[in-house]
Amino acid sequence: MNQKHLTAIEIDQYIENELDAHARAELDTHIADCAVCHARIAREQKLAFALQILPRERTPTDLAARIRAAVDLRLTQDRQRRDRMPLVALATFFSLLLVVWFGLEVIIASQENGVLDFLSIFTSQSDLGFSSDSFFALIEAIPISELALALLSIITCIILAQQLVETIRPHPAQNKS
Amino acid sequence: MPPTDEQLLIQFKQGDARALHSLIERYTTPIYNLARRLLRDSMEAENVAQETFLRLMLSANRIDLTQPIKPYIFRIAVNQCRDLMRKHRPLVFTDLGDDSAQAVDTIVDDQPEPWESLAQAELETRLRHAIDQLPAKFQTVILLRYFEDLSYEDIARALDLPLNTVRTFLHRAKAQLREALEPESQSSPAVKEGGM
Repeated sequence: MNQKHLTAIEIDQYIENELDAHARAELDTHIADCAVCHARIAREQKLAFALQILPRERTPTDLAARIRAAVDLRLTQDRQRRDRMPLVALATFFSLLLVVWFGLEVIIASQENGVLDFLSIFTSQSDLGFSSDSFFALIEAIPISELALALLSIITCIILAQQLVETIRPHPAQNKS
Repeated sequence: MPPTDEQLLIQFKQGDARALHSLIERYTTPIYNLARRLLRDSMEAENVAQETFLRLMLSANRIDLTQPIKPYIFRIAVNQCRDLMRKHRPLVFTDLGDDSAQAVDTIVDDQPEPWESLAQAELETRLRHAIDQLPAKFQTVILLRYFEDLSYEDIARALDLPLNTVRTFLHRAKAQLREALEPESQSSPAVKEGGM
């Protein structure tokens, strides 16, 4: 060690305190005996020191306060979101019940009005051909009000389910780092 | 004795918002400084600082508290800076090639360098200018090491780089700084002002 000058890596490791005690002691011995390496170490230390004491950018005085306010606002929003969750879950559950209820209503009304019979006539007896009378009879047989209610309940259920998922799911920013 | 970053994060996870406030107080200036220097835009640096803490807050439950969180905080900030810089200046964060680890283990010239005799004020001006001229990847390791006092391991964690790459970056960054500090290599008005 005493015969060779330190390499750049050794100097870096020495300056940055990256060496274990034994390795550092070895280098210390060499540096004590070698004016060249001593000078190089001193030069590197001067650069490192100059970097460490370089004046920093001036931070806006209210920046931390603004960040705290933004964080608090987000925390409040998240808390409100979590507080809403049971209500949204309940509403989703009832809207699902309504979907089932109106769905059954549609099936029952369709059977009572003979919609399925009209449809089977259309599909099985093609020799009868298409007539506007049979078409309008089919339209009249369709339980429109039940269908509309079922459709509305499905839309409500989807919207509420979306809200529920958003309430439960972590914020999208969580996936970034 | 003030609580550690990890203790503060645990307190925050337990519902104490003031613990996060303490982290904000502790890291706003370092993050702003880092972002300001990398982006050279104070407004964007402020946004980066704010977004860093929002992301820290939102990801608090996923953070591994067996690891120091300081590099994690800087990692969030650096990644944002990197994204912003990619938008404005593509490819500034490109990796070094395979030659990156080579030519490092050389013996440097033993002659004193001219910058060593510079007055402190002039040295500061030149150094500031020299840092600005560094590629972003070198700037980042210099800032994390000497401004924020992160260890090599923490820098590696913060930048998601192998330890040896951090060593190489730092070595090359300092070599470029020394080169840029040579009086004859200075030509910017800022440097001339510093010399007056």
